Amino acid sequence: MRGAVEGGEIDPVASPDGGGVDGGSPARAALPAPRRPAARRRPGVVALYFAYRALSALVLAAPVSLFAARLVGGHPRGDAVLFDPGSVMLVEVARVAKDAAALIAAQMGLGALLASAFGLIPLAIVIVALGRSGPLTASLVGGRVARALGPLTLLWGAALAAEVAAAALVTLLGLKLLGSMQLGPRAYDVAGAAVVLVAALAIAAIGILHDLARVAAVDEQRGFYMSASRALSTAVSAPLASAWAFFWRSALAVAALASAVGIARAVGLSSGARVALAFGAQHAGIAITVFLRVSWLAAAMRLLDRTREAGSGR
Amino acid sequence: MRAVTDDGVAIRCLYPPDHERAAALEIEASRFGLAHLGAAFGRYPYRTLTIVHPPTGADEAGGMEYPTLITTGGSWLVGGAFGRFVEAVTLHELAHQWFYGLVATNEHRYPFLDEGLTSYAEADVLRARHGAASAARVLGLELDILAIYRAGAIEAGHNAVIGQAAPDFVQGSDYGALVYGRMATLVSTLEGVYGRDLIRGAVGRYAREGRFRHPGPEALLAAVREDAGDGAAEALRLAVFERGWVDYAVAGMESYAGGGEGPAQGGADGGAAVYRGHAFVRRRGTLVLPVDVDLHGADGAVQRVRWDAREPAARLPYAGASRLVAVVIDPERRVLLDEDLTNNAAREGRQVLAPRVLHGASLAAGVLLTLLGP
Repeated sequence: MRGAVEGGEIDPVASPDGGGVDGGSPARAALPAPRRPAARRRPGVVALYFAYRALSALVLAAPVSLFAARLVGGHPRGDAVLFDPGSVMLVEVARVAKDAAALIAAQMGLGALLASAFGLIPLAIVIVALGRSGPLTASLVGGRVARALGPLTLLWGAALAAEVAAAALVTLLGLKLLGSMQLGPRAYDVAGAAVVLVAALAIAAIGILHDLARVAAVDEQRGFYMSASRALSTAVSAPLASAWAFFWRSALAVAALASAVGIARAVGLSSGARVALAFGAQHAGIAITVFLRVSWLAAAMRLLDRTREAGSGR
Repeated sequence: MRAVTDDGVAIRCLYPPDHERAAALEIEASRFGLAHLGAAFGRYPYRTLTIVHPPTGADEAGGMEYPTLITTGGSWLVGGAFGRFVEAVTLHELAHQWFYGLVATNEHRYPFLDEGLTSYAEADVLRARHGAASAARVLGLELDILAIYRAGAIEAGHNAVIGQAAPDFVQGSDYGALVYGRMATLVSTLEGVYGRDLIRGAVGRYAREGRFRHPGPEALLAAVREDAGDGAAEALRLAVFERGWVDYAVAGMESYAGGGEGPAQGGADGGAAVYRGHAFVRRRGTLVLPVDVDLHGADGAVQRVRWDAREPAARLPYAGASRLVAVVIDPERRVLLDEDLTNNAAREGRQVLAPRVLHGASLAAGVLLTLLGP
């Protein structure tokens, strides 16, 4: 069915620019209404993506929790003693655990890497689901996801390398520039923070391109080069729209996570019920960030559609 | 920047550009410190105090003390994630006005009487000002300066003697951890065990009697012996000169219904006891410091008993209305010198997963995945 209308939507693979891996479908002639992909239309995949995020976070955190329980789990108040005023037990556990810290950090780092790598699968599922309406079949989703994994992995590696390089370049050049200026301590620190902000913006810009390319890779079933090219042309043709769509959602996501932290602090962790409430706030925060993430991917899809339509003269 | 204390001491702070907030904090901390330390160790006798905050690039000039003049240090950005570094340095150097300044000990031969007592005094003032958050308050966590001193003190505890001359320390790290950290932890431990008023009073007596003199360790030991007793003085001597150490541990517990002879005689709360049992506790090390032990019943009742810890192991009797389910040695963590605080408690059905840690770590992981994940 690829290249034909599925679930009431046209398959974006059959794009007029012929850049898709299997372009040239006869269905191209029938011009359907523009797609309006949106996160709210796909609560199932939002839930799936949330489950991946929440489960990954718990799996990553579990070794630390198990280790802490080995050290303070014999206390009648359990790990609550770690957060007593003065943090004597927290510092003690950190002291006792210092030999294991490198091992746990390595384990968590590897775990985060694996979680990120395997996270490409739910991400691809989300993009496939956003690109079409109606029920999805496993074979359809599986096929499109499988074909996209290669380009997605390449894009991931390239984006990581580009982000590291951009951050290093901006930071090094910025600090070198600051070093050559006669600045007082306050001005130097403020300027240094500005350099870090510029580096963060550079990383965010690469992140926007990366996401646009990911959507192109999955939704349009393009290869690495064509996905990157589509992302670049979309960002160039609609830079403000791309940035706005990304940043307002990012700001809300930061606010959601900060609220989760704030609620956990306000509630305290003195009893089991309070810990459960803090967990609830935490997962609500993650759920909101996941929804916003999916919403951004839908917006990226609309942006890509717009540039494709503009390119095809529609 | 200038200020005058209620006692008429003129404080002047010399600071580089951009450090107005740090200078104001240093003056405020000094005002507080002069009053607090003066009350504890004898009035500051001079009319002036000059604080010098060195500029960037001259950081090595910071953290020094001279009679009526101290140098500090730290970022212009005080507070927040930077903790109380500026205050800590200021109060540490200020405390030197007493320990080595007014009480003119031999810094070279007995650095613990100089830096050690100064670190103790610094922690004392910081705690008076900020309570349990004496080192920092970050993300709702309160961090005590003594928790930090203690960590280094325990790590280096067996490396060398606290009470040796400065050049006899093989490594600078041992000097720092033992002379500064372990001495402060030791005196605070004695406060916890024998009473803050007694030990602080003893150090105050030593400071007053040694004012404008050159006392040695025996003067401090004598003051502690006189005010807090032989046990406190012996613990101080052992810890300072013989690497004295201690580690309490719960070895186990048992309880049984009735005891085979009908109901027990009565619990600590006066109610009829139907369960009897024992808590098995151990003390390793050379320091003999009495501690409290909490015995937790299954019904939530907690009985506190005092263990003199003269023997290396003891079987503490329990009688209560329910089974003995948990034992905690030194529940208020008064013995900061305890080598391992993680073996001070045991309970039936110990936690396998630490839920609060899981919450914090999974939140951090969630944020990390949001930032870095796909």
